[in-house]
Amino acid sequence: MLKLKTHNKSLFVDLSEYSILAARTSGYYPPFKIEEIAEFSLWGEHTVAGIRAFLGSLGEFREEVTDFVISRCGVHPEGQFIHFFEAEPVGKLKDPTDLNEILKTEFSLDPEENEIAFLNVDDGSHFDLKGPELKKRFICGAPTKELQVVQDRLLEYGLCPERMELSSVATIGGIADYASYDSINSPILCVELNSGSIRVVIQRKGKVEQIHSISFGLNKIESLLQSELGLSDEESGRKLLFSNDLDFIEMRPKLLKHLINVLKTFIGNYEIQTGLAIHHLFVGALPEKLNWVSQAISSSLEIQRMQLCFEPWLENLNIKLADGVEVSNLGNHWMALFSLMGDFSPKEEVASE
Amino acid sequence: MSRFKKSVQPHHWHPNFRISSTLPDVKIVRSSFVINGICSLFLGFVVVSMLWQEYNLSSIRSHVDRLENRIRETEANNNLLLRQTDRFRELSRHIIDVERFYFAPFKPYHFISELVRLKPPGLAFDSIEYSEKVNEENPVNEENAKSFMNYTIRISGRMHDLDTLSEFKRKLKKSNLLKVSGYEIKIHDFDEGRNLTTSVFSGGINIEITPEKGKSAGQKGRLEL
Repeated sequence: MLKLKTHNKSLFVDLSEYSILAARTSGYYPPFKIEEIAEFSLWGEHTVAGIRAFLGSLGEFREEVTDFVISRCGVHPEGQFIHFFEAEPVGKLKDPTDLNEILKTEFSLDPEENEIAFLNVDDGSHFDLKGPELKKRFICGAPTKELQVVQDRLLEYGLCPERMELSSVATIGGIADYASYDSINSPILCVELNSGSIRVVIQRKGKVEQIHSISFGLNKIESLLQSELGLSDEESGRKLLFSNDLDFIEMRPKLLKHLINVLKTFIGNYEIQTGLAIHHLFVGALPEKLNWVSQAISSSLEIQRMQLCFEPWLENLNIKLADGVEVSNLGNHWMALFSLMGDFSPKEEVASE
Repeated sequence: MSRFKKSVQPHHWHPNFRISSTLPDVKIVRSSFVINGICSLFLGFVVVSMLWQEYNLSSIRSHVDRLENRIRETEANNNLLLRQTDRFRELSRHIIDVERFYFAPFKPYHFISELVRLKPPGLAFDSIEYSEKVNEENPVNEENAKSFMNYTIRISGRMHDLDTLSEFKRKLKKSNLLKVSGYEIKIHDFDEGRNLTTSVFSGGINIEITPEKGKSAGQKGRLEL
């Protein structure tokens, strides 16, 4: 069993379909120090015992009173949804009955079967029915049974979540905060590529402006690769997808052609609506070996990829790195884990607290 | 105490989807531990209480056993003593009778011989009965109530005519036999009828001896016959 040696040790874990990112910190609430970070790939063969051993080796764990490590977890449950909603008229979201009706009619979401959160698009704060009337809302969540599946997985790994968040939502907050920190005022195209779908979010000045989900995920790319090369099984296609095989490199633009076209349309519409050009691209969730996807998207769309410098940004969030913790070479997918740690409340609000 | 602190981290972009109802109890001091602890303490208290009661019970039992053994050990001696007591009580009654016989102001044999001497011819004694009875003065007023002894001598007999009984009564009244200091003597004759077959009368004399009025019970003393 995994145990934290001392009470002030904390564990942040991001559990995606590609890998487990984990960080042992000196606390949950900034200011704190990141003492150790590690990544466990879920792409190849792995066992629960292996994952437990990985988490156990991460830090100073030992047998203690409970059987679980208390941790803050970011997850990517099946069927998770992030929607953008514009209320028309503005006061329409004041009534909970209207809210349920909107969920059912516009998003086909049954509040009884889903865990749903309403956020304000401006700052990601919880939507208060009694608060000021705002036109744009942010709806996120996942089916309850899928969240339960993920939570059971965490427990199986010896992790008891103190918080279980959607990594995608935390990452949106992280990118918004990073843009604010790095004084990026132009729109940012955020692309999250999952197995079954791609989520595209456009942010500007820390606010979510548009969200789209495209039913074209990594599975689709694998199928295309399989048919192009005449492979007999999907596993071979997946292996090739993660390889740097030269023949395959030449095929990459063809595999992403459909995705690129959808993104171009999406970007075109936004630029026409707002008159603003998108200059920054962030592709999250993908592991290092799929970096070519973000490169291909960047080159095809002619949008510059964000080069994230985690250390100064984390320091800006009152999160320091312990000696020996190196973050300069980490891929963008680490943004999900660091976003779990960040306090993204408006700075004046923090100051007043 | 729970390791779950109340989150002070603002929830901007951090909605929590944890399903608390299906999470295990990971408190450092688990609720089940506290409940089990309380139950164990209560159980321990009950067990200690029961053991203490059992100890007391066994102490009482052993004490009872010791006493029963002592009773059994002394039973034979006690029975002997009881038999001796009964015998002593019986003997003491005889001693009292003898004492009364020797220390009475009237010697029974003298009294009887006097009666025989006074008996007129034609009268035959059937029985001479002597009885004592405690009477009380002012029995209603308990504070002033006084007790005293009444004595009765009943002489029964048979005769051919009632004159004989009257003569016997007259002789008794004149006799010094019943002149006892401090006592009032009342002599009555009684007739129990005539036997038609034998033409013999049955009757007798009833002598009531009561303390004279004006004297206390203590002063009245006791008449011994």
